[in-house]
Amino acid sequence: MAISPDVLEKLTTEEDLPELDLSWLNPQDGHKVTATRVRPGRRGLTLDEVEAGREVPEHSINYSLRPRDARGRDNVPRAGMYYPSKSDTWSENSRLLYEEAVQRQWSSATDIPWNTIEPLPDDLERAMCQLCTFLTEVEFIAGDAPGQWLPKINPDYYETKLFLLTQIMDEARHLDVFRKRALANGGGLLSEGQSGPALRSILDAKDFTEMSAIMHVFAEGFVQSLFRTGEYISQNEAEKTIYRLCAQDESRHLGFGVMHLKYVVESQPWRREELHHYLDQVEGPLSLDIQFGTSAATPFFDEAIIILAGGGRKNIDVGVQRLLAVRRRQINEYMHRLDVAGLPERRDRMNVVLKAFLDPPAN
Amino acid sequence: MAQEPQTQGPDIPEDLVKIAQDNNIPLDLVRRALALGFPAEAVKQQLAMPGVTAEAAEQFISQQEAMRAGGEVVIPDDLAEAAKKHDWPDELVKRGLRLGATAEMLISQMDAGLRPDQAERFITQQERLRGAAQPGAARSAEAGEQALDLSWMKVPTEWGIRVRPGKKGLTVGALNVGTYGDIPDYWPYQTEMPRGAYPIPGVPAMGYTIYEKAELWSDNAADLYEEAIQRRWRPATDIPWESIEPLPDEIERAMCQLCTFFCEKALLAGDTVGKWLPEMSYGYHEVKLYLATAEFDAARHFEVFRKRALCNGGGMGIQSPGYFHRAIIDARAWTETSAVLHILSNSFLMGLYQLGEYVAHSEAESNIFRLCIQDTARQLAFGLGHLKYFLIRKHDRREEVHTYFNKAEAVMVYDDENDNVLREALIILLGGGLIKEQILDGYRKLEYFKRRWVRDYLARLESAGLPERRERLHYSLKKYAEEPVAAQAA
Repeated sequence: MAISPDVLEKLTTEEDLPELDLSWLNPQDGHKVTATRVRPGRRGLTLDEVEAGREVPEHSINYSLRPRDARGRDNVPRAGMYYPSKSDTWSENSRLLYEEAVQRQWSSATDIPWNTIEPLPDDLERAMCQLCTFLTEVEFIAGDAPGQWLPKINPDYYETKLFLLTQIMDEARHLDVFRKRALANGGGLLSEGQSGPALRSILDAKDFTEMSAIMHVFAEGFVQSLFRTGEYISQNEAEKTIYRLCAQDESRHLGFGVMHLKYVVESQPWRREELHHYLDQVEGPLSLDIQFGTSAATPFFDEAIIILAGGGRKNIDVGVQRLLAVRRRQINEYMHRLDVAGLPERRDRMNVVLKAFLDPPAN
Repeated sequence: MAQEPQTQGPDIPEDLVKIAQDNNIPLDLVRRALALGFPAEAVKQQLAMPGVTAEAAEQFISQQEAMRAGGEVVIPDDLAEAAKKHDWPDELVKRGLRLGATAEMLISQMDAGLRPDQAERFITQQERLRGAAQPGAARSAEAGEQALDLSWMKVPTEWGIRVRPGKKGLTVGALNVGTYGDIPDYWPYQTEMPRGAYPIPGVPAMGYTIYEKAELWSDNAADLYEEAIQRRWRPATDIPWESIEPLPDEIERAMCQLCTFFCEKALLAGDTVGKWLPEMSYGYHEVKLYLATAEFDAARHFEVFRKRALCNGGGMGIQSPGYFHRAIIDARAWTETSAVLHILSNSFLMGLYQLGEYVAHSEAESNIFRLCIQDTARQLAFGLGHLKYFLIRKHDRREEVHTYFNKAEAVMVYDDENDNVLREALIILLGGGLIKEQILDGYRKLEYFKRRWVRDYLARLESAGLPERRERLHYSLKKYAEEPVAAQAA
């Protein structure tokens, strides 16, 4: 039912009514209402459905918290300084990834079959607890880092904000599930990890794309490849479930990072060399870790994997070979992701230590 | 090709047999490579390289065998030239060759910039691991163990913890047993080390600024975290969107205006808490965990209200004046942020959600507001829990807390007075339309809801240990505050 301008006029001039303006009701736009109703589809009412036909601006001078498509007011104080360009923070898959994240949340308290964990030989339990201590550390860095970027992302590109908020939730759950595993089977937490300098590089990033390339594509890529080889290091169904569910979450984070990188490469081609510089930096410290499949900076982590993958301290040779296989997988998957992002030349300029693990390119 | 019998030497894994046969490499050569200590995985990789021939493999293996037998390692001329150019000592090059690196590989690494000191480090490790990777014999297993550091196995953390799942599963709070339940008043570590782990020297600081428990803690954080996860909901599929029917224009626009307001608030909450997370040290992970769920709430609230605004022919409304946002963004201590965001702002939001549920025109709207009330109740509980904890331990900062509320209440009132759009939207929703009687009814009801939220706000502060706020409330809000006796009677 359309709004009558006459009714509004009368209401705003009635003496025994509270002071009213009502101009925001826009009676002249009444025909627009009901023209754009959206119904839920097969996957419910998704962001893609409500945003269909709506434009996302390439640039924005919105410095307030005005949501996209809302009408602005004069004299609104600035809420912060945001990235002004879509390219700075955008990823084409963020709506999809956000919806998927909301659908695929899980509970470490009730979705892990904790009762399948049986007492393990001491060396295996200690190795698992060391790995869990390490993962507890790295997962929360990955939660803190997106948090610090949220106030810099323009509300006009809210999809990125929403995705990062789900990532913060995911990382909390990861921290939580690995702490639970460490304390669930007669073990405990062990030594602080040695990956501090690498983790610091994530927090040190001065640009969103830099952070995303380092954290989403590189660091989370390596963690994801590790989770996907969970069968090497799992001793029971609970651990397999943990790695599977964490890998599922990490896939989204990676997906965002790869597609953001792709968007930047395509829309800001002049940044290509800059992107390589970020990767040069991050490949440097880590590459020192993985020469010949062993670690210079994180031996605790590698040793835990060697023992878990080998099945104990007496099978170090098998463990070393499996660690090598994990490394190889990590680096080849990393290169594949960079191919997808539009940086195939990384194959040639990848740090020499990492490059040694690369398979020949597929024809 | 006929299957070559396996005779002397180590067994060859089946997959390696296949790769060797596919590349026409005699199995005897493979067996000799394994006997030299090359891991099967490494042999597989070498065989899979393009251009590998039986002749080249034979030459390489023979060289290696000669070296192991004490023969002189000869550095090829091109490698010697490259080593000289890059300052790699001959001995280092020979150690690389002994490990099985080819001349081409070493030249390539030198040309790519691998420094001699880096190479020394890796070659040493490789030598140790090569000892470790000797397959089979007990001697090799011992050598393997010796090649590893394993100091992490012996750190003096509490060992023997076995927390079992309870009625609510395996919860975060249940993990706080033994020394893992010791939550110190001051967290001394600047790194990402989790509580209960053993610190190592040399780890860089991560730049946190909050190290004192009283500055961030709330006793209910762990429980709220688990509750938030158990009560998660999905706007896309848990809201019966099809129940939303076309509404009169003024009602639809008013609802869209309210949704726009909620979207802004959600953006504000997400940005604000996000900014504080990296400030909080890791000793208090329960708080960080709970706040992560509050971040997820913020995302979901933005999503559900944007969807509501866009799904029924309306659209986004007009932005709010935005002054109150700054009271939250500008906070320079977590306690200030939490007091203003979680208690003051969320009390107001809670009142609006209750109002929204009261005026809901469909099951969808009713569900949206009910679920948001549930989420916001957790945030209020966290904020109140933190304020209570803070006030008990920081007696001398009570006045400071009032200063935060003084400022925030004043700016909130200013914002409210300047937001005629939201006020009118609420009146229309509460009254049910634009007829004069409806407007008057809506106005009366809005006054009721304002009294209700001010009353609830004060009751919450009283429960957190700040009953005197009733006397110090902003004068524009005081008129809505009932006297305690009257409130009890009501």
